[in-house]
Amino acid sequence: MIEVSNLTQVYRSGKGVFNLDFSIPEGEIFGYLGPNGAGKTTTIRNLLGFANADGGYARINGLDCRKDAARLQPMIGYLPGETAFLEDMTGAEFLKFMSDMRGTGDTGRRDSLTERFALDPRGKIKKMSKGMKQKLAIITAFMHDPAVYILDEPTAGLDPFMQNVFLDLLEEERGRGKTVMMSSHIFEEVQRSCDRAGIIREGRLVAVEDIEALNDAKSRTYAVTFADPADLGKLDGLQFRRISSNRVEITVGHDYRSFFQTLAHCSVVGLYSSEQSLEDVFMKYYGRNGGTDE
Amino acid sequence: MIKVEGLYHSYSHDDKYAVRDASFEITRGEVFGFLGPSGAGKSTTQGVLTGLLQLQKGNVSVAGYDVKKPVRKMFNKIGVSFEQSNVYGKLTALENLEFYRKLFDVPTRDAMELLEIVGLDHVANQRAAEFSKGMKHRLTFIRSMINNPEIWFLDEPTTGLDPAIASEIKDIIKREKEKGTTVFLTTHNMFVADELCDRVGFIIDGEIKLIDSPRNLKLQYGEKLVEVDYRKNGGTVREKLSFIDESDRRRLNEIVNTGAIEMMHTKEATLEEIFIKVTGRGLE
Amino acid sequence: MNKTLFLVDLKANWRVILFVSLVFMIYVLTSVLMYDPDSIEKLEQMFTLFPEGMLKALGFDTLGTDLNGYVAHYLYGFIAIIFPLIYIIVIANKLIAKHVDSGSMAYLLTTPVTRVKVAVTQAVFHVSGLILIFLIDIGVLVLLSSAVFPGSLKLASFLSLNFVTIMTLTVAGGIGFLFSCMCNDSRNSLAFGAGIPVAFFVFKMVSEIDAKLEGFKYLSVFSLIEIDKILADPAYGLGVGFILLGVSVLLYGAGVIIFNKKSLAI
Repeated sequence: MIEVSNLTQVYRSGKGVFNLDFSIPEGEIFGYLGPNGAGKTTTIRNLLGFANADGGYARINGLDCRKDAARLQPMIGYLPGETAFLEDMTGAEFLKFMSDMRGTGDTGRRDSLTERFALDPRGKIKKMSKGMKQKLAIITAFMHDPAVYILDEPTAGLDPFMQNVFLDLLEEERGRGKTVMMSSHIFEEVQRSCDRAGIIREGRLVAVEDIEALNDAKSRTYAVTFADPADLGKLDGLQFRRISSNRVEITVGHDYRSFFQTLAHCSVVGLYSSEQSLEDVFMKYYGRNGGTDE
Repeated sequence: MIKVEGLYHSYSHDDKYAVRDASFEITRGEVFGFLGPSGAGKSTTQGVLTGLLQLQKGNVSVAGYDVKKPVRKMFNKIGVSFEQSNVYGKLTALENLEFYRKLFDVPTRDAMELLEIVGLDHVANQRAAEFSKGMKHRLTFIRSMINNPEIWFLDEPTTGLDPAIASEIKDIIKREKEKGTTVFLTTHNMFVADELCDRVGFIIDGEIKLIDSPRNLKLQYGEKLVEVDYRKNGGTVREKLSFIDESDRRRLNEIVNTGAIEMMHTKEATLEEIFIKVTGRGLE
Repeated sequence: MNKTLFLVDLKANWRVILFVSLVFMIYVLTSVLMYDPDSIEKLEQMFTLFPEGMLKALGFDTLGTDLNGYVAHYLYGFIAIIFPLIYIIVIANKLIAKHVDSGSMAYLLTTPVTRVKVAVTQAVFHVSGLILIFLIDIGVLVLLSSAVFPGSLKLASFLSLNFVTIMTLTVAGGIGFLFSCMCNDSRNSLAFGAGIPVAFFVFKMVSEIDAKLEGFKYLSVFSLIEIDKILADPAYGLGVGFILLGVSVLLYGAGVIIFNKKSLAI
């Protein structure tokens, strides 16, 4: 659905994106991570047909993002990272303006989204809080029911309750076969909602992680704490790693029975799924020298 | 350090209160997280505490000063980093800080040193107008600590920053706390609140509904659960079981004995779930 | 052309158009009402008291003795250029560069409306606003003078003068629009897009102060508003106007093409 091939765009500062290659199949939510200034925005600019690449291409649904930009727009729901609306409009006027520009007549979806996010769009946009503006941006991106979503930090400024409303909406859209590319700085959010996540650093895609596999691995490793350190001697049949005198990390293949049977004879006081997370995998790509400031 | 008793505030000066009968106390060296849905009264409370809004009703003291009659000295003792607070685009980062320093009559910190700790030293002489959102954000952040504040008001200190910079900001906050600085933190990021705060308070529809430590809240609201996927009749079934409930424990035992477990993970309540539990009703 | 965008432009900018029209109109009204065939002579006597350079700079040097000449010299040497020029340069920047600078252009372009259509709509709006200002003020002028001095205004030569004036302003507007399309921030767009038209205006003024500085007129498109020549020969004005029209089309066209081709950082 989304196809980026050998995409290169270099700014005068020497920053940009270099030989970027990735594709996002239909129905997938792809998390796009990376330090500030690593090239996330440049990639997005190319997908929306705003920027001229120096080499390579970005395509959506087989159409070239730059050349066929106007033809592609009805298929794309875009949520910019730094939202600048048209000044002096009320929220309602802006939504109507966007519907008119897009030529979408149906207001049902717009209204149900407005209700869902509990947004009162009657006020002037200038006077809206950050959270309200973010809701307005979300509604604008979703109201024409596009096939592809390109979302730049979609939950910024939303309170946790609204973050959940948004993530539920995203989940529904995936269920309807929509394709999503979403940038985020919040690992927990990406791990929860994305199918795969890629990380870009200094203009290059340095890693792509299958979140399901990651979660899978996560749920097969347990940190177990014992009341009696002597219990560690009873763990012979299990694959484990000692963390402290009374704490181990046990990796379970499929044999949960022997896992429980062994533990039944021990004085277990704590049992947690281990915290292996996207953060552990990706954090090393951040850091002061990981990105350069825009 | 902060004492609020029976605070009311109404923008329309009638009985439509944005904040209603709020009372809380924050002790020296404490990081207090002020949480709640948008529009619940967080900014209003913050505004009264920092002297931006006139106190209408109630008793509020900040750093020992009564905010009813705010004095210059009080502003020497507080630092404020709000998202919307502006930096002067025409001045360089360094000039911005030097300008701000002069507003205080207490010893201030070295501007260059502050720029260094958030990694802005290499752009010290660049005009702030050319900065990215994240860089401006960091500049506002360090500007708020230039007067060695005793009480530090922080609004969304990590939002929009990449995880590496965010974690540096969190470390700085932790270090200042160690030095005895009191922090009043508002955020929508529950992971940040959980990590930094000694106590959190939830404000909903202008009323403070709950104040406790994240740990106590998790114990109180969170039920320890285990999610088990197991094979049954050719398919995979997922069940959520409580470790506390006796029948659930028996059920888990049964599943273990069938030996058909595919996957299992334990779930702890997160501050986010508690936020939704506590505030969810308030939004309807 | 996109009607929705055009209407939004109108809603955002009608105040500027109205303001410029009204200020312009004050001078239109005074010019006609001050005209008194008998007192022209007295007025000219009065003007001899002023330094010649100043009168020239303000375009009052030769007031003419008929209504046409009087009104033309009163308005088209200074007033009819400066006020519409303010509209032209302020709006040129707002139509493209400001949207790019603030990022709101992203919303205009995430619709099925092509870049060319967006830019053409903005260009059409830019020129329409200018024409509207002149329609309002010329309309008032024509109506008023035919009421007060029936039959005095020679319409053909007067309209020819207006045509040339409007076309010099669209050339200035085309330059403003071109830079609005070329530049990625309001600062540069204004520096060139407003700087060059204002320089034109200043050069015209300077060239009229003193014969020694006359050469400056070759640096200004506004020097083509040769009032006496056009009034005497409306066909000449028409010719000049059409050439300027051609230049304007090229400038606006170049703006549209550049905007369509450029790489946007939004």
